[in-house]
Amino acid sequence: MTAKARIDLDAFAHNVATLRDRVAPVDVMLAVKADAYGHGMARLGPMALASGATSLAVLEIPAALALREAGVEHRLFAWLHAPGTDFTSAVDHEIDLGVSSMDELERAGRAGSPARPAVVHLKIDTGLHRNGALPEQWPALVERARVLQSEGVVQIEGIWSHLADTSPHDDAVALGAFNDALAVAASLGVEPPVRHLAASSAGWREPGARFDMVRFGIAAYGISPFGDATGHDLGLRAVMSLHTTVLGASAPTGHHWIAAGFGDGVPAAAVGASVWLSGERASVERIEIDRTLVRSKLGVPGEPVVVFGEPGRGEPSAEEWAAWADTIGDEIVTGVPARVEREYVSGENR
Amino acid sequence: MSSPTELSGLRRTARLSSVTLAEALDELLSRHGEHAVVDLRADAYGHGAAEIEHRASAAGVSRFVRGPADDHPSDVGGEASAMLDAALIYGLDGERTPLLALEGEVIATKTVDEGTPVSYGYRYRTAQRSTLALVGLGYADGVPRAASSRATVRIGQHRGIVAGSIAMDQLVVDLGGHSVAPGDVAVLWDDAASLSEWSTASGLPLAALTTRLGTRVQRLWSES
Ligand SMILES: Cc1ncc(COP(=O)(O)O)c(C=O)c1O
Repeated sequence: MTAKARIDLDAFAHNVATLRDRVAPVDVMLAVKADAYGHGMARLGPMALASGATSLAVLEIPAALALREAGVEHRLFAWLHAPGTDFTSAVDHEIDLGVSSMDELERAGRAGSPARPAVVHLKIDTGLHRNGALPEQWPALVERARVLQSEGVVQIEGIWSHLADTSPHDDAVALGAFNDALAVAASLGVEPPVRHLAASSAGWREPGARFDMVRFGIAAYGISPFGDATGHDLGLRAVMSLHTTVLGASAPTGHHWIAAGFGDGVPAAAVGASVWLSGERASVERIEIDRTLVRSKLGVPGEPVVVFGEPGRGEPSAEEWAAWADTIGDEIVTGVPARVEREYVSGENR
Repeated sequence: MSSPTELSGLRRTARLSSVTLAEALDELLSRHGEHAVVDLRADAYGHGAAEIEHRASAAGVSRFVRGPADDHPSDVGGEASAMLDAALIYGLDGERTPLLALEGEVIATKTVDEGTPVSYGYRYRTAQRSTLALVGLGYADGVPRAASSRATVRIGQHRGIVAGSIAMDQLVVDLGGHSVAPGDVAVLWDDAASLSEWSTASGLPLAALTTRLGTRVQRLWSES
């Protein structure tokens, strides 16, 4: 067998429902960018909406259009736009647009009409320094949006930002900056219905950052946003697991090659890693492009191996692999390339 | 109503050089003749196996390694030789020009004061008043997060360090006093030195860097 990524739909539904319950009555927008963090947006997007999320965050307009084509009718939010993007198809398909600059706002206004205004969420930069208006740019952006709204070509649906997940103190400072931006907007007569700031980290731990909606991403995939608690500790379940088998190729005594390597998403730089083989951990000694050498006295050719999966079953978690590779679980799951088949399981088939 | 499929989104490009490949294939064939093997595992190390096979076949190569791992050692005379040839074909030996150059696009720029924190965890602060360029490539595209605050990116004439954590879809480049504009091309690597820099910065072998590139990165061949 070649490597396969198994996606546990029941675990995903459980996680989304857990997040919804945690922040209710605040709405959950589920982040399905980067092909649902590598899990497959086409399957998990609709599933998130059926499990308690009320909208989806997709990063780019083309991904939102793909969901619309697939029949998704809920709110879809796209916020990273190529320079000069024509927003006409986004407006035609009722995609909510994150707007970070005057230039984007003007283009949204040109794409909108009184019959169908461009639906925008204005972004304030609260410290991350990626996109979003700087505080000194904010009043002009809000004022221009208000004018375009009065002309009917723009509908200001939201004000939003994104946190740096640095420390409770830094998040509190950013929260203050967000509240300042809301106050500036209100003083200009702009008080949109959907204020949103928090993602998984602050959405889970900081009720004061939830406002009208939380954009949860990584937690829904069963991976903790925190350094001091695992997804398992939070009551979340691993959604992706990476499976393969023991190869017949000759290996040094007490070792086996397994059929998955860095070309299949095994993190090449991991140190001290292990996989799950014959009901125990087998330590990883060498990672090549399509195979990995593990130390194991047990194990026979063809036997199944779990590279990472559900820690509740003893398998190494994506979070453990993240620690071994000195990164975060997000990079472990998105690092499983698309050419590795995704197998969706639920109910009896799990 | 416009068609949903006409929008291409952000430009993320793996630029492949047909001239570089042709030269490498010549060298491979002159070394090994009819025994020449091209290693196509992991989608040809992320380069796109169908196109590499097509071009190599046209040049006269008739043997290919595709995996799974069980069948590679015996039929090509050991994995080491296949690996060596992969390094030659894809320019992954640290000395040749890599077959694949990785480019992103500047989405936005921002001028900030000295000491400004950037990206998750605020693990980076600007050393001076700086231009920050937001580039639409992240670890979901295969840009290794371990290179955060270490590797550099070239935008126009200027090279700047990756400022703070590389995120799933984005990274920020600190260009100091230089200015760049949205739409400018951001080159992560395009020669042996820049590819090696990304390898050192991330702790990943050269082959892992290309093999990890995701599907949002469009493989584009330039013929000249
Ligand atoms: C704007 C925005 N919202 C929400 C999320 C989800 O974040 P997380 O995965 O930490 O929950 C992201 C992901 O980076 C994001 O960029």
